[in-house]
Amino acid sequence: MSFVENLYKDYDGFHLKIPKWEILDQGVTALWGPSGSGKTSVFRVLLGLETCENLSWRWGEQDLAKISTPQKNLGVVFQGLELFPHLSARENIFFGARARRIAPDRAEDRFKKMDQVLGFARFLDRKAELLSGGEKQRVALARALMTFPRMLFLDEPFSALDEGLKSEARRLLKNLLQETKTPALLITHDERDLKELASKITEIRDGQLISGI
Amino acid sequence: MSSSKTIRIFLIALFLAPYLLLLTHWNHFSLPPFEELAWIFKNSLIQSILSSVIAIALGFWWARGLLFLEQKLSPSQNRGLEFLILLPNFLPALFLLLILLSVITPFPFGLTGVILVHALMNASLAALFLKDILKKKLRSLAELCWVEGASSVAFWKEGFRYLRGDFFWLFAFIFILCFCSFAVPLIAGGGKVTTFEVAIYEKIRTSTDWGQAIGLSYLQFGFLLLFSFLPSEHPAPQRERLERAPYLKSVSGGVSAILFSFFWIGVFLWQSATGFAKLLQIEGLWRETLRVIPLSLFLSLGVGFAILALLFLSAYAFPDSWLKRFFLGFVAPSTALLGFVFLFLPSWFAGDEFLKWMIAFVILIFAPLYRWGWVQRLEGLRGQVQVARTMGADARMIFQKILLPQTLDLACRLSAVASLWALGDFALSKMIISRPATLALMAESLMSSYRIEGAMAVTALILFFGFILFLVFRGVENVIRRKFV
Repeated sequence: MSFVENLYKDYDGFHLKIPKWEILDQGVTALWGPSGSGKTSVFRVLLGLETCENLSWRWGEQDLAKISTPQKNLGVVFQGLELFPHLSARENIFFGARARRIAPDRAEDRFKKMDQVLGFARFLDRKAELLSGGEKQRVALARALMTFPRMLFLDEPFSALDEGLKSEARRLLKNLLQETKTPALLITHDERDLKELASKITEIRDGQLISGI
Repeated sequence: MSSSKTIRIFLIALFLAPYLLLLTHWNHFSLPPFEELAWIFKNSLIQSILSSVIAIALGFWWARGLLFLEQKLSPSQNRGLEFLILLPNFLPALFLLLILLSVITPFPFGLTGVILVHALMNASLAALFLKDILKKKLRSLAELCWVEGASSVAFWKEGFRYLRGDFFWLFAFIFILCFCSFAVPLIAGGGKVTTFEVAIYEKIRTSTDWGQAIGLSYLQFGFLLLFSFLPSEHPAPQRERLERAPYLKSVSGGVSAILFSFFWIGVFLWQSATGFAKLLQIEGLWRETLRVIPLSLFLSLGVGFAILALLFLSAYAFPDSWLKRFFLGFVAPSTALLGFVFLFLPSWFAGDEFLKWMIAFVILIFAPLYRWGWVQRLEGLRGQVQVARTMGADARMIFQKILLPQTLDLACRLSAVASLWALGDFALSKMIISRPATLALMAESLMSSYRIEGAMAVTALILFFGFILFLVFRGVENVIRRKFV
């Protein structure tokens, strides 16, 4: 189990008030709420992209709020995916492995395992800017999971996809998380994401958690 | 201490150095008598306000003209026209000054002359900015008004109200450029318009009154600081089709934009052609011109490479919102004061005035270049940097793999622009170097003795070598891309 405590932050009139919240260290914890409810702010604070005094995020013996973003060892897929457009799909995927100095054979094993689920052999050497929406999605997921993160953060990861691709992407993500045994925090406003992926649902409104705490 | 932190401290120390030097070497200041101060303030305000208003009015007309031409010309023709229109704004001030001095006889030296040069220099910038804003913000409204039969007066009444903020931002931007301008009031003012910059220059040059020069500089700095509270980023331009928005277009604006672009380039080519003949006739002048070329190129390249290094250092330290705020709000000391601070620094070694000028010039132009596209490019990569950091990449890897490949082209372009500006600088170099040792100083010296055609010919050489410098930095880009990316 992991527990977040004292997540209080003011944004010019908007207040995040989360005294305590349990995020699962297995399966998918979904943070669900309408636009403007504060989901992305929570996401950014937990990632360490925004400061939050007195925040505590207990993960076993460690307090993740007290260590820097790179040390937290989290994977992330932003809404805009943020692939490195000048690099090929393969270079994008292996970027994190190089950053974390993961041994090449271990990285290759991980890559093969993900390839079995995501199937990106066709476009591996293509530049990221030339990939289709669905292909970009797969590369972003693989890149985030390549570093063996303790948890995967997903901010509305399917929002850029059309309806036909969304259900396929959900299926792939579910399989991938099971295959790699990675817990995830999913930020979404789409109820279908909850039905197909979530192990636990936390609802947020006006900066406060109102259920699934 | 991390490398990013060291870089941040270095950059901030470098740019605050002139202020520290002022505080440590000349720590007393005073202000001129009230009447003189009011006169300086009045001149600076009037020329800045009128120049900005006329530039925006002209720019607005041309912007509508460019929107009209967008449908008539091919994309490459449009790009070429925009490039020609923008050149007077982006080339050294010497260029437009010479053209206007040669065309308008007698030239109205004084307030009118300063306003005329500033307005023409900045109208092109205003035109391109307003063109994008009109497309982005008023396209739908224009189409709606046209379809529903509203008059153009009714449309513009609402349109202007909607664009109030953008006009104000543009006004503030041009106002600051004119308020801080030194070279234009110095030449086009003809000794009759004492703006802040000119007053600071005269205080030190003629009456060696450092106290009043520093006092004026602080006052100017404080005044400009008020503008740093304005939002620093304007909306990004975007391309949209404008087939059915006649209210936004102007045929006369299009014709005048074309005339302006080709008029000044024609005048320049004609005058420099005759100027070369005169340059060859005057005994020793051609030899002297050839003699200063190597040093001019060396100094310009030095400035270009220094800017390239500073741009990369600022990228290495990205994302640091403090450093970004520092450069967005940084106001370099007045050109005149900066020049004299470096002039009166103790000598480092024989011939050190060239190094001093390079450092001073870099301090003067880095912040505008940073604001002129660099910060926007870095901000566009923020998401990628955050992802890379989350994945554990260190600052070096982020710079080498993410930032360098995606900013190299712009960094080299900005460095080329910086080296062109350095090649054409006569205002700062006149103070520190003081003898006609560069092409720009030679052109200024010829211009001061009313040998306008000769000055034009030397300026044509500046443009020619400026083009070569662009090619050099293109080569630098290719080499860096091959070796490090």
